[in-house]
Amino acid sequence: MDSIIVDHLQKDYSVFRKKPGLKGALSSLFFRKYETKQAVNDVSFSIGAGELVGFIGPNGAGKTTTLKCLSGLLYPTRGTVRVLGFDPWQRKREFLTQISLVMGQKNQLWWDLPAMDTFLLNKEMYAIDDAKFKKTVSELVDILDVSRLLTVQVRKLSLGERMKMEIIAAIIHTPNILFLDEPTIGLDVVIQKQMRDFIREYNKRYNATIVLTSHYMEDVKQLASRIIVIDHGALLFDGSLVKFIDTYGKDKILSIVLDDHVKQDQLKRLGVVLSYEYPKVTIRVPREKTKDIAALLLRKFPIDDINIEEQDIEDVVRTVFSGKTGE
Amino acid sequence: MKRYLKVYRQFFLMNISRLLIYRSNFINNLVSSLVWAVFAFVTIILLTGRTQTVGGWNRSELMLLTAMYSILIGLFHTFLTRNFERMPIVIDKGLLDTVLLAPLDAQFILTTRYMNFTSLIRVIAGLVFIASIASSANIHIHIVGLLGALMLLLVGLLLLYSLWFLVLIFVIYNPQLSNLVDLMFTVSSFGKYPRSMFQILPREFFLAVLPLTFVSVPSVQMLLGRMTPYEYFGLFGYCLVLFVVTRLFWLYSLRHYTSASS
Amino acid sequence: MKYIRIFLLYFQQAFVYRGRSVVWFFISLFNPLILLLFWYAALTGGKTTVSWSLSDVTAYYVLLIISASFLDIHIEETVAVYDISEGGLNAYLVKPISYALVKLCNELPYRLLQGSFGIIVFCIIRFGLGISFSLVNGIFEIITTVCMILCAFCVSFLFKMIVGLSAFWTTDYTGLAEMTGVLILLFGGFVIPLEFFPSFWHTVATYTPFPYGTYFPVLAVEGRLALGEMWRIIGIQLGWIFILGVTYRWMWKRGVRLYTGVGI
Repeated sequence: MDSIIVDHLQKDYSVFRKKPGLKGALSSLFFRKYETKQAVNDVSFSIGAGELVGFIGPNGAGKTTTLKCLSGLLYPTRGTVRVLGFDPWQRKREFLTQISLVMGQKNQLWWDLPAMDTFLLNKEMYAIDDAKFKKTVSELVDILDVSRLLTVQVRKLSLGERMKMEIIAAIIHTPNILFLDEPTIGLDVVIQKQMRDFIREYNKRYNATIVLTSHYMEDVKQLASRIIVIDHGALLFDGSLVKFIDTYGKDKILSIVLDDHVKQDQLKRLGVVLSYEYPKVTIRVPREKTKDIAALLLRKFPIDDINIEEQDIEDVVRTVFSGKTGE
Repeated sequence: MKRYLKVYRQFFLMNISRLLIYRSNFINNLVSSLVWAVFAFVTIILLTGRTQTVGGWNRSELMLLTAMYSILIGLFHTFLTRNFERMPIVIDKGLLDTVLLAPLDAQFILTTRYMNFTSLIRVIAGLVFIASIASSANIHIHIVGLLGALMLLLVGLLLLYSLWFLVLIFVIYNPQLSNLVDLMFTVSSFGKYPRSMFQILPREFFLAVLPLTFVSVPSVQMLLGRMTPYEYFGLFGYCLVLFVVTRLFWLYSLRHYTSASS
Repeated sequence: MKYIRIFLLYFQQAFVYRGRSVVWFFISLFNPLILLLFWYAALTGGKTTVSWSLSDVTAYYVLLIISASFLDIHIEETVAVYDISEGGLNAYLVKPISYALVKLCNELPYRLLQGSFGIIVFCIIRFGLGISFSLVNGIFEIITTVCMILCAFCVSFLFKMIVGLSAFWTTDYTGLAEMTGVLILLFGGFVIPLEFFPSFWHTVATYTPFPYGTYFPVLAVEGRLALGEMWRIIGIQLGWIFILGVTYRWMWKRGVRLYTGVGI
């Protein structure tokens, strides 16, 4: 049975519109116009045990709202959600002990105390026995390399160190389902990589189902074999990363190594020149014309080497979300 | 139940640690608690400086009431107030999410996790004041009266808890109302005046204020031997009903909770 | 002028947050109300030796409510918690503006909004319930009263800003805020008129800035102060404005140096 089943999920919010300026503020005193915003609109999908799925979408797409419906923090307006057979909204204890939601900007660590104190608190909350607690903490602390920080006040930690401690606090009960909302936001590249390695390791070791949202395509590329794309509350795509690029990638990239100088204008006639640093050139060409253009290049220009690559996922996503097909 | 006790014990230890880490804040808070305790007594001394009886209560009895209130509010501030103070921020900034995700009752975590031990000074001040008034005014306190007063004090505590929580739940509907906490501080102080003082108010206002007059007045009435069994048990029932109503309203309001955008 | 623009923006914000203003108003209403109820019970059924009549006491507390809604400043929490403790101050420090003036623009709309609630209450009591009380009259007296009220606002504002700035040196400013809150309640005449204090404490109070923030302006509005007395009080208010102003600048300079902006 699938771990997560979402069926025609819809979540609406009431938003009030205020006109700018003093006049708008005064009129808001007497007349308020409330609009219904559909944050999630008729979304359906299911996720099996042990899958690592990436949720992508622009800001305001409905990713976080969906995660919150899955974890029981929000009550769906319509549709059903089943996680591990539970209705998340009921927030039964048996459900809560098997899940965890980590949100990038929100902390559960007590600010003035060392992180270890919050770990001990969670130990009691989740009724974890002493031996298991010691083992889990030591494993997690080792993987994330934070053992020397356990007795430092949380307020004195850097953002990256704090995020690591937050993650440990959030998964101290080794949940089967992990919801990660922007886990690497604001972190430097080194810590980002450490987080990704950790997430991958956790998924493998505990066969945990992981659903993660991120703006960093690198997170998605490195971790998710399957992506769900949400835009304006609606599900746009659900499938493998490769298929996404195949479906939505309108173009391909030709990486060329020239044997002799060629005028840039001549190459511009064939496609969009992305970079020109002799002898290396990259050109973006329409997908359906790739073979022909490649053949033409080999025939008419002094080419030493040519490589045909997929578009970067960032470019594909950008294109999809901006609704444009060109540059 | 055992788990809740263990978690509460951990809350207790963490709050002690927090208190000891910031020594300057510890002194700061201790002094301010003492100042509020003294202020309450100074107020009643000033008010009754030229007034011998008010609403059927004489000067000593009014001071006894202030002292009892000081004990009650000291306990309330020690174990509960900080949680209520943080409630608007927790709700407005979406931090309630973390509370809701824990496998424990959210109301329990939200309203009991933070403590402020420096407020115990108000309890001590209240006890000292009661002892001094009782001896100077020749008020005899019997053991039955004392135990009964203690029980009613706990009932008063639960009553005040329900009132604060009931009002602060409204922050879920309007997160800007963080100053409801300040309102509750002000309104709670109605508890140190006799009920007869409020009877001049229009009926609706009197009924709104009525619960507060059960917070510490009954304990003093018990101490002075002026409580009937009917009133005594009636208060327990009243307190229970209010607690249940508050709890139901909380559970209903959670449906309206929209955590702040990430 | 940028400060007018800033003021208008905060005014809009105050409108959006009208719920808060209503709550603040009720807070300023309840404290005097409870005392009014006490005096009512004391003067009608109880035994008391106070020389004021019930209408004197009512006038005093009603005017106290209205003056408090104009003059009871709440800026210290914004300064101490949102700006200093949580690092919001960073945004001000990198801009070419005066922090004090911006905070003034922040507070002023709330005072005006709540003051208007106070005026509504006054109108209800005066015209709706038909309760009349004596007020200051005479053009010079009225102008002087207005000057006193403006000075009172400055005294209160500067004092609260200083309380807020204490957060530069302590991570929990609430202790100090509560201590000063109590002193304002006592010496600002919020419990009983200073006139009813034992004489020693009355004298002590006049050496603090607190009575100059609300108590004396209320007496002035009631018409209880002669013109000469009013000018003397304004002189003391100006003295306090100077002292508090200098203290504020000193604390601001030292505090900013100490300040560590807290990141996300």
